[in-house]
Amino acid sequence: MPAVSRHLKALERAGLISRTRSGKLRMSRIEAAPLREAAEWIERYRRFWDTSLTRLDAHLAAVQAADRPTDRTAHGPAIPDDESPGKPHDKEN
Amino acid sequence: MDSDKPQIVISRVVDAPRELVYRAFTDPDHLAAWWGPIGNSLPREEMDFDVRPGGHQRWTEVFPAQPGLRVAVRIDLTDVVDGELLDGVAHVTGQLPEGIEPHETRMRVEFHDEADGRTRLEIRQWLPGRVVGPADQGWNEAFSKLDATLRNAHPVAVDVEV
Repeated sequence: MPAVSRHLKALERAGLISRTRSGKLRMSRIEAAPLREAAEWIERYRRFWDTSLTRLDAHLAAVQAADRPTDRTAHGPAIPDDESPGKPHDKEN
Repeated sequence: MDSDKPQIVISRVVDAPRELVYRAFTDPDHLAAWWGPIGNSLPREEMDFDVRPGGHQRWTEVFPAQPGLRVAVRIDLTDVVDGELLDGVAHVTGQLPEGIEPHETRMRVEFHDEADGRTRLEIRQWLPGRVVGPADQGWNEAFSKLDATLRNAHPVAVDVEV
């Protein structure tokens, strides 16, 4: 029990629980606010990275498509080159 | 704080060679094309990049649809390995969206080769100290104590004063 009390005291100091006394009993309750604030920060930055990295994917694809010479088809990746539909080699058969 | 575990861990493979992906993070013209929410804009004349250990990356984010917002970002770079690593503390200030205070947050991005000319990003982020450490006790310490408490005891909601 002393060990448990010590741990609860640490949680109280960290602002994660609050404690009240009632005779010989001490009630501990979880403080939601600090937990919620941290969860919101994590969620906000997760969304930020998710959006940014999706945009990064599109940016990298566009940059690599632009770097690719339009008149070279021999070793191009298996991605349809939608940006230049009028390319002479496209319909060659 | 730096030895603590990051609160955000993201591992993501992108379909481009490592050098190009690294450039997307360290060249202002590249970064402006993808950083942040859709609809933002990073004015080129307000971008100032000096990518090296002890250097910095600075820019401003504006939002044409929300003229009241103006987010200033300054990353003080601590560790930089060309093509491999960016680690630093981002200072976010300016006219921020409702509910967001100016803050500092450490970000670390590692760039790793993957098969077929792709790159794996390992992103780590540490939340501002005041968020994760509401008092003098650190967040992680509190949780490790909680773990220990739950391991060693009945799941008590009431303990008896001794």
